[in-house]
Amino acid sequence: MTIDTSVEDVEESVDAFCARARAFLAETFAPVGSGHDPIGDALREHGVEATYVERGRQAQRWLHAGGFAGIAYPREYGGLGLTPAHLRAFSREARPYDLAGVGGLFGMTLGMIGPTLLDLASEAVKARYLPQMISGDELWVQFLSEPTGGSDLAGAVTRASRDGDTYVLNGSKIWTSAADYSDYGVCLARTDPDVPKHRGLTMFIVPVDAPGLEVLPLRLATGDTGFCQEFFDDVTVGADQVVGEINDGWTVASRLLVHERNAVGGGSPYHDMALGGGFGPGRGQDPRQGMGLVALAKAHDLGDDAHARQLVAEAHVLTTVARHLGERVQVATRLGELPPLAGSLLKLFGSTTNVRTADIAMALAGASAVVWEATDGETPLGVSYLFRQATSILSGTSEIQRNIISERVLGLPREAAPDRDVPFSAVRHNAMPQRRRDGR
Amino acid sequence: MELELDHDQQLFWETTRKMLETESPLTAVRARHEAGGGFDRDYWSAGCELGWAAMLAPEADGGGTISGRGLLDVAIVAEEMGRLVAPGPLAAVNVVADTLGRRGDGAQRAEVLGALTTGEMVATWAFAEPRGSWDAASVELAARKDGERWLLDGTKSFVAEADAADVFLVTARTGDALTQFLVPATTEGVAVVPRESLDLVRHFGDVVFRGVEVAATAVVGDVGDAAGDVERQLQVALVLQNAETVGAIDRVLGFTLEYAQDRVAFGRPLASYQALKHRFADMKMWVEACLATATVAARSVQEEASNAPELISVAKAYIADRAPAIVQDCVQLHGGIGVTWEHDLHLYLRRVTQNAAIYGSARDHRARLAALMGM
Repeated sequence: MTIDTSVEDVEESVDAFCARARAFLAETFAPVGSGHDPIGDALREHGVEATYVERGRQAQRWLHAGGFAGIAYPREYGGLGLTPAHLRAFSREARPYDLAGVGGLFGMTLGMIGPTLLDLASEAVKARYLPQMISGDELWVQFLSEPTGGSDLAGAVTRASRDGDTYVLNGSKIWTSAADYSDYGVCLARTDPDVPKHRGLTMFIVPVDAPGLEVLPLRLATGDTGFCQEFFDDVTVGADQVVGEINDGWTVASRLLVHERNAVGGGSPYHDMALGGGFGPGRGQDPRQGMGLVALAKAHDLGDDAHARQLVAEAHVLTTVARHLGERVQVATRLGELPPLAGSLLKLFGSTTNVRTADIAMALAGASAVVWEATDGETPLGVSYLFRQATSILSGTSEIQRNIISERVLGLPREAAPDRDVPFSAVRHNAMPQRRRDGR
Repeated sequence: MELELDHDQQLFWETTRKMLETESPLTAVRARHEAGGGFDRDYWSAGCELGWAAMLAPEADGGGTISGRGLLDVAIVAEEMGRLVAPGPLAAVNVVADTLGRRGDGAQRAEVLGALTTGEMVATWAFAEPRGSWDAASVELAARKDGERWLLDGTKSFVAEADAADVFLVTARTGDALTQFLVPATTEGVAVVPRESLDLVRHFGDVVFRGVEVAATAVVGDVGDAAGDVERQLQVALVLQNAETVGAIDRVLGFTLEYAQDRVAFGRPLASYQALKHRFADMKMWVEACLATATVAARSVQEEASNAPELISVAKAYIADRAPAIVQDCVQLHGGIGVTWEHDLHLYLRRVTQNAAIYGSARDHRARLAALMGM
């Protein structure tokens, strides 16, 4: 997992790149709050509804057309072959503009799955799929967690049985973000149940519209849909539609998780999930962050309240330090001062920060967070509070991150694991919940 | 702090660490405390020979850096001193040297700055007052023009190494503005009142000015124009303080991890218990975050970036909040021995707790940030 990060070796300097980026951004996108919506206008012109997904896709297509997509991806797959410094610089230049949350929309595709393909996929797979990721034409999801187990990813029970030149998948996946609007998924399935769990898994590439694959959006406590459950009913995939080797899927899954934790923590050298105001620490318009909290406090006449000032500053300190930690972990892992799994430090910091800033926002908003006037747009604060634990759970719970940090970063003794070296078929696991008549 | 040191900095770092391990191991710190605390002048001179007081001074005045970025170079020393809770007026002298190098006139540089770089003289910044605020607006010590001379009246508190200083850089109020003066400790009317200090070797004291007469040549920079210098001095002091604190907490986490891996309870090492593993994970995260923010802030002050005031307060607020809590958690993880005199933990707890409250507390820096954010 090496990418050339030394700026000196690269032709275009960061400053020159920034100058080009500035011109491109000014020409292509509208400043935040300007009232202009070139993205929406372009979509409507083509008769496409300007949903969050379509807007983000359009933004990515424009980035690609303008020569600013896949900044740190190799040129041979459609990227620019530049460095994380260029990536960070572009994010800085883009901050004043509305890029429709493109960083968040393409977070999994370009921040997690793309880098995993780069590291472990065959040339044929890379050549077929990476360019379409970078161009914005194809969005990807991860079929990892299952109803019978989330934290114990290697305990997957979704079965992939060989049938000549194909594999047949049966089982269920859950907590899949964005399956309802994505094109392809990486799917971890069990190809050999008679060896210890880590050795019998394979990572398949599955088109989301494959026959037999049913996607069921799940309703969250907030009332939104955001995650999905999938049912695989004799879904066939070609034996060459794999990332890495058959029965070596755990290597791929492990790498994917490293990239995921880096990306969610803001430390990915490939992709900035916060680009365009997307999901991630340090995003601009969220009322729980930075200047959003100043506005929230003032709106409640708390501008001169000493305690409120402390809370607003505390949130700013945490979100700023999160960015500093992201930079440090990136450099430290590149230098080998910290192991690759140090991304868990970032993920844990990001989620604990999110918890604290959610509490701060609620403290400032008082009663108006729980009883409010109906408006369109942003999720009401009290409702988003219902999702406070989300980033402490997704992409590996904070408890799992602490296990990883203590064991893989600090080298402390591992937890006892009665299922580690025993054939998977002999291991105790949760019963697959029966699917009800109403499909739930 | 910095993950990538150039070759010369790497060498400097190794030399500094070796020198401190030899001249000032923890046993020497304890012995120094028994002998009354403070620091040994010969030890300080030996450090000055390595450049500890020269990094922020112009070459013409005896200064010199390792990497061309003097503040980051002296921060390496500060971090190593934190690692061994070493004595010495590192921040005190460097803050004054920096200002004299930028704003001192020929005589001040010739008479004082050169001597600071060699260790012949020790200086310290007298800024905060008995109320314990490092907010420039709270300075009350007055400087009144009396013909060609100035009269200083007031009390400065929390002055680092006040009893060892040969000269004070005093921040005074002149009307609505601030002016700084270079005042020798022997000046008539200047009285140093030593105070008790939580740290085992770092001394603090009050400096009382009663009708102290100084010449116009004692003014550093221009009359009424010290606000920018005061901000810079605060930033320099905090960069070095933060570096010292992160050096300390990194070391404490390190030896606490070693302890937990060695110490057995109920048949297995403490470090194998998940509850404790998770505490260590949190502490590792906090330590790396402290290192990260200290580094970013240091760079911003070195580069005199426009957001240096914000970043230094972010770093101080975060580190001041976390560092004492980390060391206290390490005390907890050591069990009973953690609260003994004999164990070295209290040496570190004293240093980081004191640092958390000097040059502004976490609360003070959050208040400063709120103002910077337009609250």
